[in-house]
Amino acid sequence: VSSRDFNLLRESLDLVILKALTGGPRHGYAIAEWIETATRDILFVDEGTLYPALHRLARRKLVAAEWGISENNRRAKYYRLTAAGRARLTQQEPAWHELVGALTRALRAPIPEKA
Amino acid sequence: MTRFPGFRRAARIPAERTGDIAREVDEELSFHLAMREERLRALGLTPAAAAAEARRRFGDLDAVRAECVDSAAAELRSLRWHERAADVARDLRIAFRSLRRSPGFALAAASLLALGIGGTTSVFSIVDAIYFRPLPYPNADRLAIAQATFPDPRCGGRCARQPTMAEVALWQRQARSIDAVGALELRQGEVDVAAGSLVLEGAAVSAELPSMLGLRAAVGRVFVPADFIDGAPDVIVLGHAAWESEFGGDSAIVGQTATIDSASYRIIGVLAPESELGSPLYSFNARTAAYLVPQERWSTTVNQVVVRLRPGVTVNAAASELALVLRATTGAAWQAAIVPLRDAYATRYRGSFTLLLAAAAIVLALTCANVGGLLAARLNDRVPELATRAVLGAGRAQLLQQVLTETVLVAGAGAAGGLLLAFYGTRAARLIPAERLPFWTPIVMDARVIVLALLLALIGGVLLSIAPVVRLSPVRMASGMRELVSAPPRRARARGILVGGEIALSVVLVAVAGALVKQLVAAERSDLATAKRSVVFVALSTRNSTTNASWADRTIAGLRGLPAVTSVAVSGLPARTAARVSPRRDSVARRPGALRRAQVYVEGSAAPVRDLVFPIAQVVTRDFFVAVGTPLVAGRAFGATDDESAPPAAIINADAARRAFGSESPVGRRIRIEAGGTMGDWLTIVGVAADQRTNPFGVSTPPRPQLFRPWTQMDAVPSTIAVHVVGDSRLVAPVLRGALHAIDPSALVASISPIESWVDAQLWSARFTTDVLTAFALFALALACLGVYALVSYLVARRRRELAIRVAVGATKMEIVATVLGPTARLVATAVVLGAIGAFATARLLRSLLFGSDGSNLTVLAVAGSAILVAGLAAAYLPARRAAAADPLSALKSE
Repeated sequence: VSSRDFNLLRESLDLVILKALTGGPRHGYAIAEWIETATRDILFVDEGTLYPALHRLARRKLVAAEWGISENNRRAKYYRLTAAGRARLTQQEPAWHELVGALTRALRAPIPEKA
Repeated sequence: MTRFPGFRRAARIPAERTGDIAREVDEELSFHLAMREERLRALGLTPAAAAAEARRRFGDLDAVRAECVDSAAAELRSLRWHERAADVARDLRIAFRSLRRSPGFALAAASLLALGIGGTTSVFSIVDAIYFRPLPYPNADRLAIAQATFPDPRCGGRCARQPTMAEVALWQRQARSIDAVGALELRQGEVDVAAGSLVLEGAAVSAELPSMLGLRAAVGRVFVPADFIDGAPDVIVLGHAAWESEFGGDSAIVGQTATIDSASYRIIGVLAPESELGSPLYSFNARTAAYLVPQERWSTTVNQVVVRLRPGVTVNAAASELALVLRATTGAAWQAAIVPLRDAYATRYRGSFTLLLAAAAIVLALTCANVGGLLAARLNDRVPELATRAVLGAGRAQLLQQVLTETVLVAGAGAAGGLLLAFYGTRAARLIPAERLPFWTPIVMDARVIVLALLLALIGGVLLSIAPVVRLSPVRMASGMRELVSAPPRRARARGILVGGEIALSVVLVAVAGALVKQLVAAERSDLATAKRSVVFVALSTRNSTTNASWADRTIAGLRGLPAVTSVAVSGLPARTAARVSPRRDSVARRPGALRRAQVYVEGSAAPVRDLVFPIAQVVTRDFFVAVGTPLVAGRAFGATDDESAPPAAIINADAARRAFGSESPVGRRIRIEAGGTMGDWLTIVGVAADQRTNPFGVSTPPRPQLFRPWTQMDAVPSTIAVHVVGDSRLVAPVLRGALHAIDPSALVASISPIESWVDAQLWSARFTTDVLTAFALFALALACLGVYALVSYLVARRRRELAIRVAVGATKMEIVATVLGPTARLVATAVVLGAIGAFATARLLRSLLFGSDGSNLTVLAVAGSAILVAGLAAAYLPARRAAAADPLSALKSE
């Protein structure tokens, strides 16, 4: 996988994580489950890649992390969307739709025969 | 939807160590795995299968873990940075605000520091470039000049023979302490240049010298060993300065041919400026060698021997080994001396540089003392503010940090200003003309100087601000300002001693500077500097051999006709002597010392005069003493009557007269000179000339006996034409050269040097030292006055209450001023006396360091002392006036 592909994948993962947090704070496993359902298990090669992405977003102050207690009474790290993260999501989402639309159109467009 | 649980505030404190970070990452990841396993088991998998499947879905656990730990650690680091930077920024903001409230203090402290640091570092940069930095040659610390002297009994052991090339070659083979030996032979040759032909001074170098000195070429190449092989083509390397001035500075000259004394040399290169052979390696009339040629194998003349010592060998050890080698190989009483290259030039700078560095150190110390005083005073003013903060809960460390920030800010501004000043100072130092420097030295503000300045400012600032804060305990500060303002008398006394010391040191500096100024003024007014400022010497090449008496007449008549010229004289060597010393073609190894000297007999006494040997007589034309500006102290000058039919006449100088005749008048007496076993004719002394001073300061060089004979009575070979001119003597050189060429196209001129340039060279370093020292002294004086001002202000503040009471009970303003000034006047007076004693002691020390102080510094000392006394009292008067003018009621109320 070239670095460009990786970036595209990473960007899309970041965006999906931000989207996952729009409903309120979640811990990593909950985010992973939501993403699996939402993307029909396509986005993840490995579940583990979620965590470096989460930490990266935390460093960029797009999400904030705090320790809390999970539904089954275990200590878990919760992530929530920061204002910056929310802004980024609203800003990036239309761009992604456009990009994906353009890609789809391009891939479906007929190639004219050579004259 | 998951209910959002409450955060634990404690968990917000970031984990301090990587261990904690790793633990947190592990906890987060294992939670994920556990949740996944639970879900899989709920789907019906066995616990073992669920665990395996959870791990499989997770992927590379170790890699994820490592990445998370790294990322968290990086985040933590940046967080700390942010926090610290925010702290510093806050302290800086507070410091800025507080400094803006008292701009006078900030400005005064920063500019004092800037001046102190700037002046000191500028001077250090110059001294460093000339004195401390290694010479621009590889292994310069191991290079030395070797002098081998063979005391010649015929001249009472006072003259010496130079070693031959063969002897020099032996040194390298036999002396184990010597690594390499190179030799220089000074040459003078007629060189065809663009403008015609010129006699240029150069050097023949031995094969080892180029590599020993690491000579580099600016254009073309320098010599390689092949150039020294017998039969190799004749090649020449031009000196950089000569290339620029005489050969047009054109790179295309490399590959062309230079003609020296009708022999052709192929120009292979031009020396790089830093490779020029100048002092201390090369000594001739020119500052640097105009050209270098390879020394021939058969050459026997050596003028300068350069040796490279083996690592670890001392100069003394090498000298004694060399002496042994010399005695073993020649069997004669050779004496050897080895002078490190640095010492060969550095000694003449030692005096002034020691003085300048000492002055710089004193000024820096005074600066620090004053800035310290300012800081202490400011801290006193801020006690209420600091006390308030202490009461509000600020710890001592916090207060210290705040005060430190402020100090460092001021010190930083001072250091920045100082560096700026030093930058311009070193830039100005680059204007020092190259011929005033011993060798190629770029004067730069190097990293060491910058670091030194910053360290001085920081260490000084930190120490100066820590000391008072540490003394102030928060409790004492909280108890209010009164205690500090009425500080214990011990501290006031300490400040008094400090200020007294400042005054004493500035008296020393001002007195020393005054003595230098006095001496410089005297030197500039000396006969050498004024009368001879208008004398130009035309040195003729030694290869002129005309003894035609009419040559001198024609030359004198021709040059007299020039507009600026007032008198002309020719001086030369007796023809017989000249023939004997007539050197090998183009060699100038002619050394007066190597000639036989002569015994002198006074008529009426059988034994020769003890303690008087004349060098070769100088044969001079009539106007000689007028032209060179040397007055006659007795008798008359040579005249038209001193012709071949008249009795042989002579003029001796005052030194010779003293030696031969004591206090009696020599005029009309007869002397006879025995030279080489033959007795000369009786010479009638017709006049006594003043001793020619070779140094405007008049003390360093003792006079030497001189004997003059008239041109009209002796065949002589002209060596020098002395021309007395009106106006700028430096401008007449080309005119003289042209005129001489017109009179006698075959006459070869070696150099035309106005004495002015030569006297200026001597005055220059004195003037430089004097100027810098005077600036330092004035700055020190200003600092001392500032110190007095600050001290008196402080004392007035301390005694405010007492003074107010005095005013309240009826003291007049004059009385108040007197009360304040009394102790200050005593302090200043005591300090001036102590400083005067110090200056007196310093003057005695300086006599050995400097150009020779005349010791009568008392007037200077008196002037300097009273000036400082007046300045100090004036500085004290201002705060005293203020105290007297203050409203007693408000002063009393404020406490």
